[in-house]
Amino acid sequence: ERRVFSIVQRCISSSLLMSEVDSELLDVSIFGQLEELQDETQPDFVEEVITLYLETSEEKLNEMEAMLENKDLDELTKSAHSLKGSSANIGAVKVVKLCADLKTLSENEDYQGCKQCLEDTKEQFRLVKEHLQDIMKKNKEKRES
Amino acid sequence: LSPPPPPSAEDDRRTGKVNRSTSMKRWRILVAEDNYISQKVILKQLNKLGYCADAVQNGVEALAALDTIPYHLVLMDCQMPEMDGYQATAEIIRRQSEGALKHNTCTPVIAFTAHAFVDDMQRCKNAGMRDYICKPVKSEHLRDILTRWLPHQSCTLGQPSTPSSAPPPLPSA
Repeated sequence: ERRVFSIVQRCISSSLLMSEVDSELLDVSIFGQLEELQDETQPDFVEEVITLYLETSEEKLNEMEAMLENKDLDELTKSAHSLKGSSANIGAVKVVKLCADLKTLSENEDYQGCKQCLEDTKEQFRLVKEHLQDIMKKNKEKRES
Repeated sequence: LSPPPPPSAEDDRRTGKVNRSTSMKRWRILVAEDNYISQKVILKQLNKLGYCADAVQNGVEALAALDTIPYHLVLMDCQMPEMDGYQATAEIIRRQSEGALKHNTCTPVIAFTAHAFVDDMQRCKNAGMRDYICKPVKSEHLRDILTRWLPHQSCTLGQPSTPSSAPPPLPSA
């Protein structure tokens, strides 16, 4: 009976989590899949992935800033590729697109283009980060209520 | 043949850094993927689908793992540091053709790629990859691809893996 209750509770909290997703910022289908993967063996799976994404992405963006300063475009390409991959798992499709653009600009040694694109990427990530933090906060409130 | 023993600490030591899902299921998949979040997600997907999976971070580690541990299938990211998926797959095919991969004589390699352009598909095909999955992948599609390529006889690691029906070839450029 307790097991049934916990399953039902998890289903309710999952659907509540999905209802918070802004489709302008996150692909609902991709993000929704993370929720589907969450289960009793990893009940905080979504939160773990989000937390990991936010931490590693901040690092990558800071790295890319430094690489651009040092005109180290090879390393910038690699970092953009890494952020692109992480963002794809979360469903942050606009960040994915900007990272792809950044990679191309970097490979073409378009320094000014990289600079602008990196600024755009940082801004888009900022919006995604706020939204993910909001989702986690609302999710936590609902689980505690 | 009986199913393989669960992965041991000795396996970890031999193959270097190996990220392992906690499931001890029948089929064993090797995932070569350098992005840690992608690894976390694909391992969870595989675990939920009922597969045992190990993850490595580049082609060099993939070759080291295949040298000593029998796998039923490899999911190979195309772009990785040290040695990318194309190089690693070409090397796997070469070693298989020379009989040098005793534990993975015919283990199929499936591309696990962020790209879906025709040129990329051709490059995967040229390297010897048998099929491709675009990431992020829906679990249902992942299951379908794995079902197509995993051996359907009782677990016989090291034996040729024949798909249950002839799959379509990779699209040509």
